[in-house]
Amino acid sequence: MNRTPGGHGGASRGISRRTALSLAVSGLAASGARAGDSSPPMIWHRGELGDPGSLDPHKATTLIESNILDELFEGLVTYDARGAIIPGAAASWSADPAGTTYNFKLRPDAKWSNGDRLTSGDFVFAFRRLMAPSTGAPYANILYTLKNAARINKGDLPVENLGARAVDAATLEITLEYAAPYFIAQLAHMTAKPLHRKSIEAFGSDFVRPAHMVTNGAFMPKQFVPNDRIILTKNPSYYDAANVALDGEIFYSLEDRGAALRRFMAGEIQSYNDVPAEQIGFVRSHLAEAFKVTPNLGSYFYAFDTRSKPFDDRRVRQALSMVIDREFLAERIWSGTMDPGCSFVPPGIESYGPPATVSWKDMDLYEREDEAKKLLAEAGFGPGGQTLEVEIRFNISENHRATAVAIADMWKVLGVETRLLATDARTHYAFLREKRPFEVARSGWFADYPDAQNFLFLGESGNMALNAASFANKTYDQLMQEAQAEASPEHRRALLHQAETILLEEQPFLVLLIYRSRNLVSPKLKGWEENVLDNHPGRYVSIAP
Amino acid sequence: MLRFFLSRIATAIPTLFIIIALAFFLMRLAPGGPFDSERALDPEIANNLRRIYKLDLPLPEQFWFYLRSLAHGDFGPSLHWRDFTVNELFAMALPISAALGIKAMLVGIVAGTAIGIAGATGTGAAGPRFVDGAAIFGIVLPVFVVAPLLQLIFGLKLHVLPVGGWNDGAWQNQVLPVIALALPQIAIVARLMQAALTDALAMPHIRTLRAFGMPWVHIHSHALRAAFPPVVSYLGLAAANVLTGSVIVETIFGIPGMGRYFVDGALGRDYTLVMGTVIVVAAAVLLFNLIVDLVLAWLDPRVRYETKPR
Repeated sequence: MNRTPGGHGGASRGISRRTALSLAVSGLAASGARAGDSSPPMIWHRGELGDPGSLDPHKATTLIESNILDELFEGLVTYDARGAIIPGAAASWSADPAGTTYNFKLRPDAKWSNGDRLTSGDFVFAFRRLMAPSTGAPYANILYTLKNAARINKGDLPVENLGARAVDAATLEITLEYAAPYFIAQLAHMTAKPLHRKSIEAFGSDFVRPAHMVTNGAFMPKQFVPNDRIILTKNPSYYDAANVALDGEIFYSLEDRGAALRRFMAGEIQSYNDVPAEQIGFVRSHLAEAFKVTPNLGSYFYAFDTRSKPFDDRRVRQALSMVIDREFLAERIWSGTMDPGCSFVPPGIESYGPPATVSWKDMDLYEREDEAKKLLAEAGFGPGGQTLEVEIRFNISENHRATAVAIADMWKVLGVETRLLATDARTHYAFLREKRPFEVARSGWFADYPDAQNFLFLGESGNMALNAASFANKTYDQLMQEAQAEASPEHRRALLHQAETILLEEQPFLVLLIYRSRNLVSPKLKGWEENVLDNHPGRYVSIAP
Repeated sequence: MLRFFLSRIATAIPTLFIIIALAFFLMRLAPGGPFDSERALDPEIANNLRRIYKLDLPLPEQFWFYLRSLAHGDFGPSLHWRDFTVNELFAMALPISAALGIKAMLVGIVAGTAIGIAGATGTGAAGPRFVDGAAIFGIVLPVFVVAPLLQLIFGLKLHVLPVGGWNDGAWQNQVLPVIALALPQIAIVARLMQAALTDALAMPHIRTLRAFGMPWVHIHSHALRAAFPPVVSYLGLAAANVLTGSVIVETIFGIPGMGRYFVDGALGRDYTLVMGTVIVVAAAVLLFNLIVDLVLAWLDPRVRYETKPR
């Protein structure tokens, strides 16, 4: 029944085929701990929503890439199976009282897949490469916390000025531009991985080819066929290899969610990270044990164009937000795979605690409607005033459309006339990037690292690239700056809470829903834990027979 | 014949150039770029990326650069699959799509022709009517319905074939995609064949052969030669389409072929990838049209005379 793609026919016929499959499978077996054993290699067949654009951590941008890169490379810190930060390549670290200089001690047993020792120089090399303008790293700005990083990345300073220094082979000193309490969490991001200097110098941008690639994570690449699969094998040099049960992993690029569901049911893949919206009912009734719906660090919201009338008026934004029945959206439109959103920061960030919520959270819908009508009337809309017309722009997707239609309907009680405008994703985001005038636009945000700042910075007036609402509020900016400089975790939390409260009162972003991850996970997969980051390292996973 | 061949090549080159130019500039007219996503890039970083990929140059200059590398057979780097060049992607994908396409076309031609002949020569009105009905069913039933049905029946219910995946081209993984690709071809070829053969069998020279009491096989071989041209004309374009991949079949069955690059490339604004796919398909269409013309000329001598200067 468990007809895995590598399992039937192909292997026995392998000799007569010119294909690499039989080689790949026998390679997986040989690399595993049970070489010589007759038991088949333990391979996790993972369905993913698409292909990674690159296996170069400095060129990667998507969650799909992050999932694979976390298997290949290990930064100074990493995640455990539940998504908590744990030491990775660094055994320990200390910070100076000001919180701007960190000292990392690398594990003495940390090695590259070719047996080379992992040194602090590898991190310095990687951080410099990340910031060098010639690399063109799209997400270099995530580590602008490093001293001089922004200026180096913009070509104003040479890379040697970067605040990362190898004290000795096992000690890395990192100097920050400013104290950043989230810095350790940032180090788990894919941009903060070490790179094997020699193979990059030898092969240039081709170092990502499986034949050349040297990794320091639990796995190493064996084959990458675009739009098909990526085969990873266990890295025997990994310091924790003795506790890695899998012999390998195969990532499949499966864009068609319906086909992925059928492959999951046939046992060809053991996990997949989405379910077709129209089949959630079927999955709930037939695959209940395998269907995992977990709160996720992602926010689904609408941005108002706060630069122009009438959306520069807090009352209009607040009124439009108040009348939305978020429970209906979460339960009926999204079939329970979203949570109603009453905060901008999703719940589940340990350092932040429960997020701030909108002041009207506990009012019932009728009270909110009355309140909203009052606010709109004050702003000059409604009976006796003007008719409010709103255009919602969104990127094409069945659920985005259904959500917009439902919201347009909810706004009718306020006498609002709503138009919908759908464009493809690239057009939609280019439109927002170019700061063209709009009224209401759909957007969303997933955490780069688990910290409230990583959500709240979307509202900073200086963050023009990501602040889709063009929200500008001096008090808010000031609170965010104070939080940045604050060393005490409790004070910092309080400051960020104040900032979020302002964001909710002003509603430049109409908070709607909090994402939940929806995974299909075979009950045979052991060690796969639900977590808010939806991060599932193969290092902790094993497969029951 | 050589002259005919050369004249067709001579018209194909400017056609291809016009297609390349149109595709290049139309693609750039589409809003958004390869680096736009839900997580907007820092503007300076985005500018730096555009510089690295030479997207900051004036369009005519970019076009000139593109044509120059194209002259060296280089389609450029893919903007989405950043570890690969477009040439490398095609080198992996084109043989896969072509292998599936050839099998599907063969199945389509053999089965379609056989059904068509059976329909045209069957006794009474039942044969043609059955072929018509089945063919219309095959034509109107879209692949995105047929493909999941095949997966459900053969993969999930009967457990005889894998639901999806390419698995380095194992035959089990090819069966369902080939069927899904072949079904509409069978239907169309069967209808064309049946109609053409029915007409051919009614032609005066066939009637004469019948009157002479020629054997059945002899009559039909003559009729078939007259019936083939419309089928061949259709097959040219169909082959160009099927051999360069079907996005629906490849996406549903998870096959790493060319078809997916059309849509992925266009939606992702992967300019070089889109240009590459357009050129490959255009070249395939031109090539197969040429082949069709040659085959038609061989089947029907009258076609040859028409190309001669008067």
